[in-house]
Amino acid sequence: MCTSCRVTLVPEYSAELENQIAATAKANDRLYIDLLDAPPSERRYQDVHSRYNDIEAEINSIELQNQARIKNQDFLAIIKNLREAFTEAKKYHKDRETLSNGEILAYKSTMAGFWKPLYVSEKALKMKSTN
Amino acid sequence: MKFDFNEVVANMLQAVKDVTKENWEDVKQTSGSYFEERKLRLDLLATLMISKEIEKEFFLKRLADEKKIFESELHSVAIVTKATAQKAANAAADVLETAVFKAIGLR
Repeated sequence: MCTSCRVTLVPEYSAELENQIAATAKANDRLYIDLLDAPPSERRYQDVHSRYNDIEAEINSIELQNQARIKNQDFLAIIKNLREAFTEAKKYHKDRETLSNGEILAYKSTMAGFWKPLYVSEKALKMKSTN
Repeated sequence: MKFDFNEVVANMLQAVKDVTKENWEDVKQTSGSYFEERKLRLDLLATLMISKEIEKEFFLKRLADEKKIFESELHSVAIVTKATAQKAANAAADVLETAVFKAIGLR
């Protein structure tokens, strides 16, 4: 079909973004798994601040790439919620200096909840991209 | 030149039906999976609160997060739906284009 005749309602699928989303979600999950595994004395924010910064930079990169896509409104809304939740979790750890088991478990579960809609959405573009 | 308008429209409609038939299953599956995970998260938060492993203020902030997660899930369902609509619209346009090109002898 001619390109100008095509209906476009969603961004084009990006394998690179799908991989980046999966890898960053995994790094975020791994951060909490490792914190839970560590004794309370080794759960200081300073012990893991570079990992927080790496994940934050990846989220910002995912957001930047999505800003450049057409029909990006839904993706940007999902990423904004994710970024704000991550920033809050990072600040909480930084302000408190450490986290309890309960706080780690809760953040691990909540952050996974924020990541999933983004991953599912990119995968949906892949499944529907044969148009 | 042969161009049966009724047949073309019927074929376009069928193309849309074929693509959207799977949409409800996709949306149902996506929404169902989000619902099940929300139940697990809320169950965990309630357990942590009852066993005093998290403070009330922290618990309330995580409940506020649930509203944001729900918002993200709705955007995700919208993307799944729009992606299907895009595929259906382009399938119908393909049928029309093929019929027109055939009628004017380009195919």
